[in-house]
Amino acid sequence: MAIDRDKYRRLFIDEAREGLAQIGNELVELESSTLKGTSGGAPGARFDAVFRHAHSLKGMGAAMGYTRFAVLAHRLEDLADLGRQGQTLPQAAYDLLLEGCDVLEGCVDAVAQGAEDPDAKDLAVRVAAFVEQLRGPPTATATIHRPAPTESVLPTPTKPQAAATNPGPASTSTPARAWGRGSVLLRVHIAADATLPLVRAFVVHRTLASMPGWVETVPAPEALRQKELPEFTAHRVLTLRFLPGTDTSAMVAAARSAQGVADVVVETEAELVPAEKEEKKAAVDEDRTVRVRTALLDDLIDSVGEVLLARSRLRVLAARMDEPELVDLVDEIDRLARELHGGVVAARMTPLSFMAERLPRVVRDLARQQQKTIDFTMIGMDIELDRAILDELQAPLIHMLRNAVDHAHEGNVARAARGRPAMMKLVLRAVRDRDRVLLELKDDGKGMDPVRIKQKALEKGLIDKARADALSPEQALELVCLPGFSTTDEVTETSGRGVGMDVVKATLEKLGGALRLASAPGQGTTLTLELPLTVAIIQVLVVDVGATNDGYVIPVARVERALAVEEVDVSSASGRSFLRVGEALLPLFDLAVLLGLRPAAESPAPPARFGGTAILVAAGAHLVAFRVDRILGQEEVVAKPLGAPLSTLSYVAGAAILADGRAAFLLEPQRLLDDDGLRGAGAPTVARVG
Amino acid sequence: MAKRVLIVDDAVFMRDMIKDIFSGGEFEIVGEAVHGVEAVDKYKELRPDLVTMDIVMPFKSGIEATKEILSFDDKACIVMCSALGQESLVMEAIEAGAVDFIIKPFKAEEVLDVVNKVLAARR
Repeated sequence: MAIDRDKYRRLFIDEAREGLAQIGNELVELESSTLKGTSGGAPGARFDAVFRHAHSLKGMGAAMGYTRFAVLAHRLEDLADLGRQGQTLPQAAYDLLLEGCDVLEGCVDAVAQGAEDPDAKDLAVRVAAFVEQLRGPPTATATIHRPAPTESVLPTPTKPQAAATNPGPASTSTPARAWGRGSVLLRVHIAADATLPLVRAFVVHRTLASMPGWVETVPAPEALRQKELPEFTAHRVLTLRFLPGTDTSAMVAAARSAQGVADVVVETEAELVPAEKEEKKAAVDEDRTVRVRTALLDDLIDSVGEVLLARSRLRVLAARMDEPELVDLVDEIDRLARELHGGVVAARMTPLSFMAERLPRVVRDLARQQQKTIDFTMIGMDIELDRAILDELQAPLIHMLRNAVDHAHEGNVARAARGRPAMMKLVLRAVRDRDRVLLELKDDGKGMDPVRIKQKALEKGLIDKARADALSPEQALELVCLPGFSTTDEVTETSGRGVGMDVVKATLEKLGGALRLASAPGQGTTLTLELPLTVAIIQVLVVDVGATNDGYVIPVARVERALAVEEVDVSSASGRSFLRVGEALLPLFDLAVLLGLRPAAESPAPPARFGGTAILVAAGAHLVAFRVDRILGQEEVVAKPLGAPLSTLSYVAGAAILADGRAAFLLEPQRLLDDDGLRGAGAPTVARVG
Repeated sequence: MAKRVLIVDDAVFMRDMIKDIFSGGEFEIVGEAVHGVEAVDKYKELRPDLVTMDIVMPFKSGIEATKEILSFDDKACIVMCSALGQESLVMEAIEAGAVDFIIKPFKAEEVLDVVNKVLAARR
């Protein structure tokens, strides 16, 4: 029988990763509540979850033939079992369990890359020894009687009376086990007149479980130890699962010739799908989810963009033909396209927790490496963001967390010396702010010292003296985002190599977001990531630049204000223009000149009449004014990245399709200044009046 | 070649009954033991092909004897003979490594059936 192991492999990889992440979280929670001395919910329940996940991993691994993976998972299950039985586990147990998760994850990674599961025997042996040690010297009975596992991957036998009987502990099947389809199931019917049917079933199990390809037996052998098992007694069927494609003729022969066996039936699990589906439909609620690859979502949003574009052209055509019926139809298509669009955008929305679930583990490991104690909490992780943003966000966030552990926490002793609790509070909090999400990472660590930051930047030659002197304390903080900056004297393993904050900032800008820093010595640090909800759909201002017919759009999120440029508000100094807004003087640039659409000489030179509209855009901590000829309107567009060579223009974020079907350039105007010199040494930076 | 059998039971009645069952020529009774300690000694001495083992016996239970025999020879083929009502003991013995079990009172065919199957599987 040919098997498509590849199909199951993908499911295995996804589900195993998810399970491992959940084990990690439970463990970190358990450990931190132990450290804090708080109960943190019932530890038994958490260990129960760890146990169940490990149990599932074992089953999955075995089903896929990843024996080494399965064996290690089994050992972890044993260790977690002690915890759920109420035994207080030492710190080393958490270390072992987490190490086990890492090794299993390594196995999954290997499998994902098409390799076999690597050898994990060493750790499995260590865990087993540890479990033995915790269990203490063997008692007279020598066996530990575990409570029977309450879950199973096998559906109940198909005999009609089986469905009617009380669903015992061995009959519940978990819906997430699609990977098990295709398994070969051996249904062994124990003879009605067989004595001690449970023991008989155990003997059969033992005979068959030693044969190649065996995955599991239901009822579980542990359950057979009980005096009574009504579910089993009712129909006397023992089900053994073998790997998909296993040749079971030898097993069937062995089972048939075994004492007390009335009949043996072989099934492949796929045959059960219809019945199984029925069962599942009833069991799962409407929150049921499916996995969709991000690439597929990208394709979908692209297709929807095309539909919207076609609709726009249709609309123009319909208007020209003056055909009322056609106009109605276009309206209908318009409505449907918007609905479709909304649906696809919604499908891309994923809760932050999807990305954040690994973070507590990251913090925990870093803190432990450095013997620092950190109380890390996450708030608002149910807020949803575009999946594409989440995918990009993980690396920057991990870097920020590392910074917090490495730098903000100066060590338990040093903190105590400053009169602060040794345990640093670190909070990751997400809040919705209109069409943005603010993701804030706040610590009560040592804070950042602007004076020292300036010094460092000077030493590293990142800025010159004049520029350093001109910087306000809050501007000085931003220097840490320059490439090649690092404030620690010692280079730690994970951060402090000077790569990082510049990458964090660049990533955010690429996503159409922004980074804000707030800190003071001894006052802790707050990093705020400003994120758009989605990268696929953005609100833009459509502007006329240089009186051309080309379309240019600027993300509304970038725009602080738009105002008419009055002659009286424009001034100039050393060949540069400034716009007075309230009490501030903002640098004023003609977008048409910056884009090379109009020679600088033709730009109405101040203080002559300037005209047009100024769009105020935040560039870092400052506001900058860009003059456009006219604002044509505001609309919602689907942004698409540009291909080379246009993609090399940093200030063009992509192309957008306007409602009338025209293509437009999506501008990131503040990027135009990167070359022009707001950042460069000695540039005439923002002059603030008052 | 006849299979060599060691019978372990503290009751003469049971030993005689089992002897009768195995009298067909395919089996040779090489020894008898009346308690667990003797069972272990005789096993080491005789190395039989099959042991029928009572569970509840003086000095050393059949379960303990089974464990000791198996730790001496993990290929030992031991069939438990137990009275009804001792399910948990039978399970314990099976878990300890006994290959199968017979419940008393038993019929001759039943015993031979179990034993033949067990020995066939061992070949």
